[in-house]
Amino acid sequence: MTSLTSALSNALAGLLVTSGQSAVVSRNITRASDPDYNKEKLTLTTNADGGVSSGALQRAANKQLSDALLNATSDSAGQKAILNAFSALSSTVGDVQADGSVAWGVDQLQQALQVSESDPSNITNASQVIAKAKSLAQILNDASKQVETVREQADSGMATSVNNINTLLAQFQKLDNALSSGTISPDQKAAAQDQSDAILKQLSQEIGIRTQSRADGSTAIYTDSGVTLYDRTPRTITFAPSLTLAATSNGNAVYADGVQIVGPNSPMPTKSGNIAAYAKVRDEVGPTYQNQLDEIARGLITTFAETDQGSPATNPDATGLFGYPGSPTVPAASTLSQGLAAQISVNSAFDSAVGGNPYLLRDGGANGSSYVYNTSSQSGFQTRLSSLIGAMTKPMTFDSATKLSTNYSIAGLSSASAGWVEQGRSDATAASTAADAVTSRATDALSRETGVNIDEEMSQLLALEKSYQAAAKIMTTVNSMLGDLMDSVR
Amino acid sequence: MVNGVSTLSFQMSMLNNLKKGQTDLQKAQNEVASGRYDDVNLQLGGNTSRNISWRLDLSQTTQFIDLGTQANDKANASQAALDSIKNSANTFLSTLAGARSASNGQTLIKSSANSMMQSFQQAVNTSYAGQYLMGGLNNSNPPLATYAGGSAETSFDNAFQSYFGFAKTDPQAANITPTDMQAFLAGPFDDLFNGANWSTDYSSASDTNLTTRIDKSQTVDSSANANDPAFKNMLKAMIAVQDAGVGNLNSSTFQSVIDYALSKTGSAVQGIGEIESNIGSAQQAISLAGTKHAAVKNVLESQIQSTEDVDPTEASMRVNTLSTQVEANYAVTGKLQSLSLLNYLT
Repeated sequence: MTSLTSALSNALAGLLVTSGQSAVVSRNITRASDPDYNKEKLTLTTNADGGVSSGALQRAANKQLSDALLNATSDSAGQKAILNAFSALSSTVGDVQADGSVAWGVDQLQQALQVSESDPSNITNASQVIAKAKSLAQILNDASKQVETVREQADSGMATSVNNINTLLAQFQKLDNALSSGTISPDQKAAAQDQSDAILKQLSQEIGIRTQSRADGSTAIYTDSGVTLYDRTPRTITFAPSLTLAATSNGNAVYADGVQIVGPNSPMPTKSGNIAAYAKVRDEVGPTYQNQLDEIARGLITTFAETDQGSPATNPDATGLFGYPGSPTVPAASTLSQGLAAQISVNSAFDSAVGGNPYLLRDGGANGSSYVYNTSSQSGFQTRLSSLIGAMTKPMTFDSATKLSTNYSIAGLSSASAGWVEQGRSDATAASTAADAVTSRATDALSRETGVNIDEEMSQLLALEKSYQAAAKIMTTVNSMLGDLMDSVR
Repeated sequence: MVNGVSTLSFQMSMLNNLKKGQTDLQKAQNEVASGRYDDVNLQLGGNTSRNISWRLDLSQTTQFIDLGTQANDKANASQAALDSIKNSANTFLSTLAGARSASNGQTLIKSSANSMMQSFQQAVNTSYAGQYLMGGLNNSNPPLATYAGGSAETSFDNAFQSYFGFAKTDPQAANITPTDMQAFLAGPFDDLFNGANWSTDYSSASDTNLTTRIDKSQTVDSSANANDPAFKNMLKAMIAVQDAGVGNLNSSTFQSVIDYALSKTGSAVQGIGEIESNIGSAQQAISLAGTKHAAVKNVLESQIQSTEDVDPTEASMRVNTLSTQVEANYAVTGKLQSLSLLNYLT
């Protein structure tokens, strides 16, 4: 008799286990298209009497692969942010055949000077030089504005990142506390782990992270440089965004747990993720391009400055066609003067639109009679124009803060600067494509381990159906056997 | 157990392949349409600066070709003016020779010099595109002032009066000896064409000529200057026969004036020939530079083309390959969508 009863109870246990497994299968299928969902599996336990019962709910996971994915995600997000910045800067260059780049503006000015030199008495030619100078100053102002915008966007991107990190860490704390409490049900635990993995993935977009699991189920989060972001409690990430970032301002640093994690002089700088990329754009890429523009502007102001024609000369050189707020003092030679590109303008004394005299460029004297070159008022005076053309094509010394060669003509520096931007964009494009490929591989690899294959689940469902049918058949068979027995007893 | 690919990543990878195929196809189509790389700057990367320099050089070169053409036109205009002066000077030479022994020589040559003077002044004051070609750097004013009735004539009259003691129209001129006349012409008369007298009475031209830039660091002087001795000699000859007492002179003195004029006109013709040959060599330099610029332009254009342009055959083949690939992707996606166990379970 014992065996018939145990057959019945085993069949019943089989039914229960099968229905539990079908519940898991159905959950797997329902969430097959959720990228944050990890495949679950109900394990079976053999009882002392040889029967089965549902064991623990297993959640497919692979720490190595998920860590690889987190790294790849950080890298990919960061490279994309850098690429976006370079693309924005590249708009100041435009297609090589298009008009409107700084190099184009310099060339136009030089050509207008040459035309004016060929016929210095022609007022149209003289005005054309002033017009080209104005458009070049405008191009430099616009390019400088664009750099400022890119840096400001990076700064506000950092603020957004910091906000996101703080929010995500707060959410992570709730899940982490639940997971380490020990009172959580297996179903809840799997769901909480899915959610905390999703949070880590979002977090890794903002900043490069490493995680460490503790025995009680809690997880600690560090930046890729080793600064604690979360350990039982979240650390506060602080950052003071800047409203505007002119060429001369630097922007603030980001602190985690009191440690500076990005920005210049950071002891433990984070290397990947949005924050690191934004910091690189704001503190390295943007300022370098700005320095190049500023040096081009300084080159123009210096080249067109007027020299005292008296002999001996008693007055210092004074700014001519191109001016800036510090005019008429000529900016110091070979030294970067931050923000000049935003400030450069055409001296209104030359501009006939505001009552100026375009012939001042031919004659000199914008700074008084000591600076007049054309002393005998000859209408065809070429010396000044010729020397300006010579000065524009002659190499001058630029500050090494341009990160380019320090010895260029103005046109040379402006085309080298365009090349610098495009080199950066091309590098960033390659890096971003590579990082995307790595991310997609990592996603794929992790998904093979932890993702749901509907076909697999369906075939498992078929097996479950069969075993359910079999268990039911056993029950009916045992039932009829017991019935037969009862009949014979009666 | 074999790990199957997860359904999600399977679908995502199909989607990614489709997207990538479409993006590549669009790029290839742009390249076929424009003949250049889809994103030239990205293709060039750091070489962008090199290509920008090429393009700037190209536009400079084009400008130098234009400037050279203009300079050549200007030189041609100068040559034409000089030719006309030279031709009328030659005619004047034969008129002088004829007038020397003709009975009405004095009246004849006076009127001839008068009309010659007008055409000479016009030729020296030739302008081209608003510039007076022979004015040097002072090219916005006609360089040569009108003699008759101007300060130049007054200065002459004063010089004549103070040397001979009577006015140039006075019949006493008949008493002037050839020696006196020669001394006057070589002395006070010649002084009228020197230094401050010259620039006050005759010419507002500056001695320096306008140069033409035909290359980055090469300039040429392709014009004549009204202050050239050739023009002074011409003026001396014309004014001498016109005003040095001519009309009342005795025949031997008249002949000495004619001799003087013949010699001055001769050196003027020679001088003008020299100016013309100078302008000619400047024109040669312009044309040499033009040939060089044209060659440089060709090289630059082909360099730009070879770095920025796509091979049209290759690009259109790529469009074909890619569109086949995208179609295949669609077909495979459709097939794979139906490849699910669900479709086979009843």
